[in-house]
Amino acid sequence: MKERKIGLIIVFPPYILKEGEGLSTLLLSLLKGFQEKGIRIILAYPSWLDNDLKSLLKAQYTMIDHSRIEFISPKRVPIVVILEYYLSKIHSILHRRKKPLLKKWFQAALLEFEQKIPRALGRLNYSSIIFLILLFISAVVLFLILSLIIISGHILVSLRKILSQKIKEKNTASIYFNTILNEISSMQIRTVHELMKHESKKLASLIHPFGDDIRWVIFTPFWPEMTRAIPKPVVIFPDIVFHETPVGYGMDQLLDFHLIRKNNIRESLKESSQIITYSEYTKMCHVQGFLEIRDKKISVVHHAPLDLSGYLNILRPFSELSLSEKRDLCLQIVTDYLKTLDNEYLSDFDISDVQFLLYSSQLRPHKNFFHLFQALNLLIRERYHPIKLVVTAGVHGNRDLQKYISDNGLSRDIIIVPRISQRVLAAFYHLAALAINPTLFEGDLPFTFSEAMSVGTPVLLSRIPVVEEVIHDPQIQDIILFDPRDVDNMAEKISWGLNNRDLLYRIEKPLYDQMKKRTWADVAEKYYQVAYEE
Amino acid sequence: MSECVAEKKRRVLWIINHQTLMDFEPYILRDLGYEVYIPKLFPQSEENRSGKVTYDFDSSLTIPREVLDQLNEFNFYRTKITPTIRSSINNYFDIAIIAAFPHLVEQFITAFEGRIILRVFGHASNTYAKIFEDRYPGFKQAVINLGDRFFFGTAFQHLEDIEPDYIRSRTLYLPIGLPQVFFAQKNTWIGDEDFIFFVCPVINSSPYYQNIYRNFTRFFKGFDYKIGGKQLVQVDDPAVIGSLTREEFDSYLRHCRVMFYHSEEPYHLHHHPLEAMAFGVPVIFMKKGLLGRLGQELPGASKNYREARQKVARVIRGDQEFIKNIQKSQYRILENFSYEYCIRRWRESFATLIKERQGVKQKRKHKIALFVPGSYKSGTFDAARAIAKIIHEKSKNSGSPVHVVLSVQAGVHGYETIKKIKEEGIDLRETKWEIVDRDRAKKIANLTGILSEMRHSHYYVPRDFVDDFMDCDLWICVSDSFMYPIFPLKRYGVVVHDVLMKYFPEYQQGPLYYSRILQNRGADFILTTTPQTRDDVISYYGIASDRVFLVPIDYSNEDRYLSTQVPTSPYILWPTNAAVHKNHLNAFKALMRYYSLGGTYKIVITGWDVNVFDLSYNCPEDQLLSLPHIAETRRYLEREKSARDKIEIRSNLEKQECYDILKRAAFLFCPTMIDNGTFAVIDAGLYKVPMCCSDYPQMRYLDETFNLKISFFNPRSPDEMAEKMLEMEQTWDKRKMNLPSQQELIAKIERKRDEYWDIMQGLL
Repeated sequence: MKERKIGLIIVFPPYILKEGEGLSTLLLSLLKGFQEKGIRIILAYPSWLDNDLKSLLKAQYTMIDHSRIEFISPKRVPIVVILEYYLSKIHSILHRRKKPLLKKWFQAALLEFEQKIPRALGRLNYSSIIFLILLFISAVVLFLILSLIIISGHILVSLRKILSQKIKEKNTASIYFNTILNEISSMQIRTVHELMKHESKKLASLIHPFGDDIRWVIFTPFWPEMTRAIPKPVVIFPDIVFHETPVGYGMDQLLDFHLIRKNNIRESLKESSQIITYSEYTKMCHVQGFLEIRDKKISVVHHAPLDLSGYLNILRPFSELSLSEKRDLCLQIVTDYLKTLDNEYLSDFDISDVQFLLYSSQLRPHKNFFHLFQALNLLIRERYHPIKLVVTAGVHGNRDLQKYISDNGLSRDIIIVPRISQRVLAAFYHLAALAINPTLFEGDLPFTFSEAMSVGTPVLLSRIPVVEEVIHDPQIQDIILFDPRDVDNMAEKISWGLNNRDLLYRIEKPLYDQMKKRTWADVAEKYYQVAYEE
Repeated sequence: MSECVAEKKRRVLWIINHQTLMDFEPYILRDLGYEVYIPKLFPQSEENRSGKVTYDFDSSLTIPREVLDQLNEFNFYRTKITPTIRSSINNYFDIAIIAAFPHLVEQFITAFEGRIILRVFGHASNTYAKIFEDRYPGFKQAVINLGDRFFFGTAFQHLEDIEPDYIRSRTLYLPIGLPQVFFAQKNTWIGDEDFIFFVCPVINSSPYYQNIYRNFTRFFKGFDYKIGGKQLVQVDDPAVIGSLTREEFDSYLRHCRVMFYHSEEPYHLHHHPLEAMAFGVPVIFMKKGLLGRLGQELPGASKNYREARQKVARVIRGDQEFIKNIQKSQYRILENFSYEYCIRRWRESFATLIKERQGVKQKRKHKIALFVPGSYKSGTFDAARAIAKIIHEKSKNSGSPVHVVLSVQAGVHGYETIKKIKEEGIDLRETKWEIVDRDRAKKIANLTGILSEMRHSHYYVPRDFVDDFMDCDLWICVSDSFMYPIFPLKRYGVVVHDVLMKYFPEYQQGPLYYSRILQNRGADFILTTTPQTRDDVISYYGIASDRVFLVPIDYSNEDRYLSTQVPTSPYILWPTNAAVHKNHLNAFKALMRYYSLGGTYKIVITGWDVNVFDLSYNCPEDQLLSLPHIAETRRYLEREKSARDKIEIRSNLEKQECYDILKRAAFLFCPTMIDNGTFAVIDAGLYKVPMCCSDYPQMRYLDETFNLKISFFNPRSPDEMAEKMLEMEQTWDKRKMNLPSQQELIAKIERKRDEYWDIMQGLL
């Protein structure tokens, strides 16, 4: 029997593939699925993804046999990407918030001084006095030089602070400065775009020799150059999220990027032979509606559920542990993680008896953090629930959200844990009272549902079309879904969920068990069928 | 609390959880006549890949089921010992054998009153004394303070040779044994496959083992070998076979031609070479290691890798005479690990242990210090006094009197107050709080033998310039308002009356914010007086629930004449102060609304610093006036002139004056947004004055506890508050009749004092 093969093309910008993030999780799940079905994978990607991709595949917890994947990628990483990498390394070293090196050296020197000098004094003679005088003079000279350096450094830092303060103020100079900054930002975006275009061409030339034998599935619809170069390409279209929240995305720094993307998506889909979406909603409203692409075959392939429990297999499988062992393990993982944070409040925080909600998501305009924070405020201040909210998004990056948090004194009630590993995420999920996803839009049923249920935690979700597409039963919808635009409704549901956690889990379990019957191998098989459909 | 050691059940806490040790040591203890408890939770990490749990010994423990369940739910390796666990281990166990983990050492030295055996197997690079002294400056003194209660339980002889005197003199030789099942494998070695079996885990994750691996592969190049041991990161060597099940490991032992054991650590020994020897596998090992010290002149011992290679080559070549010599000699080493040898030596050591502890522990009176920070004169001080009285009186009545020391700041309290406290039998000590930095704190720890890592930059130390409260067994801080965490020279608890910072951003600034959190986290236990505050402490301060106790309200109804009165010229009484959570703006808005709806009663406002709401008060030095919530309220009052003549402000009154005003009031009005529930409602209950109050959990709790029949309103809604006040104006006299009697309320208060003592007893 002829070996089944499929080509996957992933064309992401640099630094996108990080463990635990949506794209990586999806990619790994699909790769596992293909391998379980015995389908050989040819993976094509830009040069800059080589290290990240191979690390992801080799990582401890993934069960992907990367020796059975053929990797296709241009050899040379563009210079501008290398340069950017080293610049960001330098930046992070300079801004590392550990004890300053100078202070460490000074303290070490002081300790030496405290220990050695009394001994020396005890053995003092005339030649050692001369030596000491010389040593003292050298020390004074060194001290003066160091002081000069430190003072200069402080002056520079102060100047920088004054400058950035001036930029914040609305004056003519700052407007010009902001214009320059915006132009630089726009140039950056266009540079990335040109980089991707150029790399796509190189990649296309590497793919070309495979001819018609292999069908290719392009993971992202942003690069029409790629789509044009491949025979009968199948393009995966997740969604066009900035259509759902245009003002939110319109106000962010990547606006130009989104506009370029929108055009590219349309071009790419037009060039495709087939399109895969994750939901009927995105098929109808985004592809056929917003993008007006009505002449292509579109297959809806829902995701399979994700199971985080495997990340908690340490000495024994997580499923074999007793309830108290599971809890103890997760507490250990979370406590050890909190100790690593540079945060006095959290590093010593005993989370063992704290009820918390968990929202695992990136920071995006459609993720609805604002309403969630408002609901939390209501629950704590007016309903007196002693709860916290743990979020995995880097909320500090959003000024409005930060202001809401500090104005309402919620900085200790909202625990921000960005970029945590899958293991730590799984542990947080297990310990959470409830998982919640108040998103205004997603391409498919949020992974929150299966992630949480896989480790024994019930979930509350937004009532949005993609969720109602999967969870049909109106009675269950009434219990587990809330209106993401209604803070009171959200708070009400959360309050009920907190008081009826076990019941909520029991209600959701049959739904989750039903979903589990469909695996990533089934999803991979479907992708294969779509790709090879005539 | 007298006890005879000989009478106490022979029970041992065995806090080690190592799988191979578990197959031997608990059985030896059982054979020596001890009941053994083994923890059911231990850190699940790659470092503890040899960890194991067993329930096999639970059924033979003659302790109450609920105590066993509590112990089984507790992770000794990671969690601070709670008061409940402390009580359990001290009541039911006489000996604790603990692994040499810093956390266990700290916790057991601090909390366990029985004998502690530190179980040691040798350390690769350091003495145990250095390891613990570096981490805890007070370690040496702490061990010395323990006297005959601390032992250095060595698995191999001469491990103590490199330790300092204070450790060496406490050595107890408890040889490590191999479980019988390994001796049952005697002569099962076949050796039919031509490979060296070598154990080297975590090759690509540990620089130490990576070096071992490199040396091995360099010196044994050309031989076939198989390398067992768990690998966390894949190793690109087909000879590395990774983690093995017990059966697989035994199979490799049986079929390998020879084992090589690499260790040159003089004070540490792995298990696997012993297991191999028991099978009859010829083991080539390094003379410099501990195995070498047990069998220096044995044929399997090698002085370097070159010699080891030569010997391995001889075995691989099939030099039968050499192999037989090695096997015969190995049995001599194994004798040191046999059951017979071990039980004999353990029995000898335990005989020493028991001999040193014969005798009766004398009854001793406990002493508790109660600290009141700052210059608190009323609320917090009254609470401290109430607690002192409860402990003093109730402990005396129970036959186990506790000496109570109340710490006060000099010059804060008047002569009459001090005289009265002394007459109640409570020892009063004037206290000065001094600040020590971390370095000084470490040195004091060194002197006193405190085991604490000193993570904070500064601490508060209470000074009475005599004993500095070191004569007390337990410290209780009747407030968490300390600028710095208290230096944990003694076990201490904190009474937390509220967690207002959770609800008000204004309280999340300033130096007290973090110090409160640190103070409470360092405490042995927290006492709260309402369930909501208890929940807030757990969730906001991040403290485990089994360290937070709900105690009855620390209210005292003394110091007053309890005569009630029917008001002839009724008015509303609003007791408050200038703090932001008192919800002044909404309250004044409600008041104005009440008058506009036809309300007629005047309102009397009492409390500390309430003169800030008197518009004629305008003292430039008073910083309270510049606080945003005060300024906003004053601006509102300036605009609302209509009912000014109906507002009477009586600031900073003495207690008796307050009671006089209370008893003549028509009803009490408490519009606080949230706090721990005000004692004013209990005062009002005693004087049979009806109340209308904000609806929040703590106030509801007071209402339920004392059946005060409070009428509730939403503190965010001035309209609702106004309507309630109007309703109270119309119904207060009827409500007064329905309030519980004074006797009923006094009886409830007294019952709460009994409950308070019951809880305190458990914490002592």
